[in-house]
Amino acid sequence: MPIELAVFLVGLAMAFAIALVLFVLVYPPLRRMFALNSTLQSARSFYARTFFLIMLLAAWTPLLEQGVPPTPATEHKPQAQAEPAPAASEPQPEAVPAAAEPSPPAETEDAFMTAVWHIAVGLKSVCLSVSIFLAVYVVVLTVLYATLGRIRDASGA
Amino acid sequence: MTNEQYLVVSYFASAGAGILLAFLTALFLSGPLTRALQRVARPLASVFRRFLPSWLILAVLLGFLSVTYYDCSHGTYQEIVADRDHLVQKNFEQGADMTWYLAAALAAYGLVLGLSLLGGLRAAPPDRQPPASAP
Repeated sequence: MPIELAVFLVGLAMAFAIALVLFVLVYPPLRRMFALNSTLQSARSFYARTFFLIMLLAAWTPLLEQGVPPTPATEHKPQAQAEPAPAASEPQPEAVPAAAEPSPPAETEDAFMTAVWHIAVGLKSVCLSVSIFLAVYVVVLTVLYATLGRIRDASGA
Repeated sequence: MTNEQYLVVSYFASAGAGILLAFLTALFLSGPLTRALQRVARPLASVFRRFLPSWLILAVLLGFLSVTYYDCSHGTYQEIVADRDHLVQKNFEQGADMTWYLAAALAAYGLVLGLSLLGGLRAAPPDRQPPASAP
């Protein structure tokens, strides 16, 4: 499996974990709130599943937007193409010694930290997106509670 | 696979995957939705059940179609097709927009469903109304 794809999948898995943790934290109080009356109780399953789906989609959206991390070759290609060739009449600059190729261990460390930074940037956006949707969902639940929660009936807890 | 073939395949595959995701989401929610709509009047409940898949598919399509392949450095079809990285990036953007619109559509649907539950509670017959609180 290419390293870029692995990094992307790790990011998706971490976003899934964030959504799952949020769901586990929020579901017990959500269940108690939906036990207030029978109308809310019948809608409990729908809102619980919707909540999980919204959190999951909100967490995955920024990672999909970010895409897979670019390979080092892809990163350098446009710069190399954009660099104009020196004209023959112009005086040639001093020959610059070619940059020494990084040794394999340094290259591995570079790739690892680049992958970590890529995931970190993605997770920052994940937190923002999840926060926004969490706020929206709290508003939805507040409206639901304000309209239905005050009404108690026999089947309610 | 040439870039042009990749463009055609990935474009329609993205649209298909988005529609499939919306359909599966609607299927995943259909059971709980039926239970939630037990207290809602039958015609309105029927409308709500039929409305959910169409609503989600339309939201996903809206997200999919909101992505354009043209930008500052890709003004023509030839420039777009020549850049494979650009095509891949646009595929990811389509996926991101589709999931974002799907999440927003679900939140909006939840809000409207809550209002319909309120309507159902008010329209319920007197024996199903909550008892008045004792003094």
